[in-house]
Amino acid sequence: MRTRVLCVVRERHSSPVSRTMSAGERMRSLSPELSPAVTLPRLAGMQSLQDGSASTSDTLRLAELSESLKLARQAREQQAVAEHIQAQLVTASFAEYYARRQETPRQGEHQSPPNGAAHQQLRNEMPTKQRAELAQPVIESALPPQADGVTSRRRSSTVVTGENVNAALAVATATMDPSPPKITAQEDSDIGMQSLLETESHALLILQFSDTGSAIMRTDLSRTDLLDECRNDIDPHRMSSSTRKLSKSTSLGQLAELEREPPAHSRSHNAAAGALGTASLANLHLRDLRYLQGSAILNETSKYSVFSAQIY
Amino acid sequence: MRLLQGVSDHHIMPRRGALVVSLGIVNVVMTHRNAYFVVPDGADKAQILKNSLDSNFYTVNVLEH
Repeated sequence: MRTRVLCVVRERHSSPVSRTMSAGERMRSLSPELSPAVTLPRLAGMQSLQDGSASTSDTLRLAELSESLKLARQAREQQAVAEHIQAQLVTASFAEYYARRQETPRQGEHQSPPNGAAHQQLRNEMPTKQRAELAQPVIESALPPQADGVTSRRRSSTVVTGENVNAALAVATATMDPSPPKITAQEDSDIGMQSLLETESHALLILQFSDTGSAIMRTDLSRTDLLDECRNDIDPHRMSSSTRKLSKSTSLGQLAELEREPPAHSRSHNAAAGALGTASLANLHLRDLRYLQGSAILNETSKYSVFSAQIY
Repeated sequence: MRLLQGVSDHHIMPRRGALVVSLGIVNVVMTHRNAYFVVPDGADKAQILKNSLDSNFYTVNVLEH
């Protein structure tokens, strides 16, 4: 019906726009899918029809169609603005989250994104290219710093494509996680030193002055060896240290013998025991040397510097 | 009882035929033949100590004779 009316109008005014428009084209031009560059001249042409003697219903219909077109165009613009704002929010959220993780990586380890579901939703909604752009600086910062130009060129040429961006994000997150605490070599050596001290086999640093005034630095004496040397000095008649040299793996029985108090018997008994090499006249014991060494270790840092200053 | 004592205290412990001296900076077991100075591990000033004690020994020997 209305198509027929327009046909009448076309016959009367014979405008170039209306002459070239068919009924289907006209309906398509009024639909919101067409671009304004096409529809606006056509509407202008139709508007020109209102100047003439078009019917009132036709004029009302044209006004109604132009109004609906305007509303559709406004809705499309609002939708574009909303998408742009959403993309900006997602970008800002990811940038802030990863910047916070970079600043405090240890705290970030226990820190999840503000809400996990929303974070996952943002990751899903974020365009792939945008996620790749976000992941690139995170991966670059997660890599160890290199000074050589080759490595920097290689790193700068690293491209995170859209397909592997999730894997790249996972790699970056795993790289930033701190490794579990390990036992250092220093702690290991301390443990070994402690066990050596407990078994009395740790070599002491000893400065030995003889009665003739000669001095030698000895590092081949353990605490048990030093005790043996001292007892040989005290009781020269006891068995020589060369035959009674304690091995490195000193047994507990030998240690007990060294710790044992000499019997408070007669001198003749002690002489007989000394001849057998099982006892000594000296009441110098291993605990005395332990005390001596413990005092030396304790005063190593606090008083040795004072001592060296006094020497100067 | 001796194990309960603080090792920071200074002690001279006489033993039969030996003297154990713990004076903090000087830790030595002295017999009539030798004097064993226990030097802390890593003490790089031990050579200075040796030279100083060498000269003192020399001085004492000269004075005695």
